[in-house]
Amino acid sequence: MQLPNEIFIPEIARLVNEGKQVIFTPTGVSMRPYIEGGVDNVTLVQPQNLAVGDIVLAEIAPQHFVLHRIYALQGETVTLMGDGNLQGEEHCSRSNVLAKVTAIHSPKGKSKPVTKAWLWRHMLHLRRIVLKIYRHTCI
Amino acid sequence: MKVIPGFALRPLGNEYLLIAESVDLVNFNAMITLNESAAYLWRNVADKESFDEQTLTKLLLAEYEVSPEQALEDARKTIASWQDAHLITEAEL
Repeated sequence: MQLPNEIFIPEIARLVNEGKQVIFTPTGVSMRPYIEGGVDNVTLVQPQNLAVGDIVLAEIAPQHFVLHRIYALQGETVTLMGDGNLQGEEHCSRSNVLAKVTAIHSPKGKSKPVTKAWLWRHMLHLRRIVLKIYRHTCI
Repeated sequence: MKVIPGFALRPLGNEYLLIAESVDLVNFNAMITLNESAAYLWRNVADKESFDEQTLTKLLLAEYEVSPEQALEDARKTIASWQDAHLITEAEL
């Protein structure tokens, strides 16, 4: 099913808000190497107890959604960045965080660990090299 | 035939989405989408104790400009696709 994000993401948010867990396949490369877009499935739940390192679905501008990792929490402001990005943060408020990832599954049913990626978040200068190796060896 | 309870029909863009509202884990990758005519049929049989291809044929003829033969063929295809997707079951006698 190929539907634009602005149509199906709000539906996912509605279901999560009702207390359901939702599985879907995100697209894009911005969460490599932790999530392979168009391949891995993620499980989303209500965004409770947000913490730095959580992967969340957020609306960072009207109808502009990202599934990225939390890099900072300051009061109501949430700072996000994609694991596969070399630079560029996004900012939104806590109320714009729609869901939190609790599980990542590869197509063969294997679960990937959902970590806070502490080391990855602190090695921005090495990302370019690691991601290059990842693209050549794991995809 | 009868509809398996627990599904909700939600408009989504130009189509409709059947969501298993009764379960706690919703797999968005396995969602079932219905076009306008299939959604119309679903709405009209969802509460019925039983229906068959004649029921759907009559509904299609009442709403769309199609021949009886085309309506019957569409009704059969619809029932087959719903069976494949485990959306309907045999009605209890």
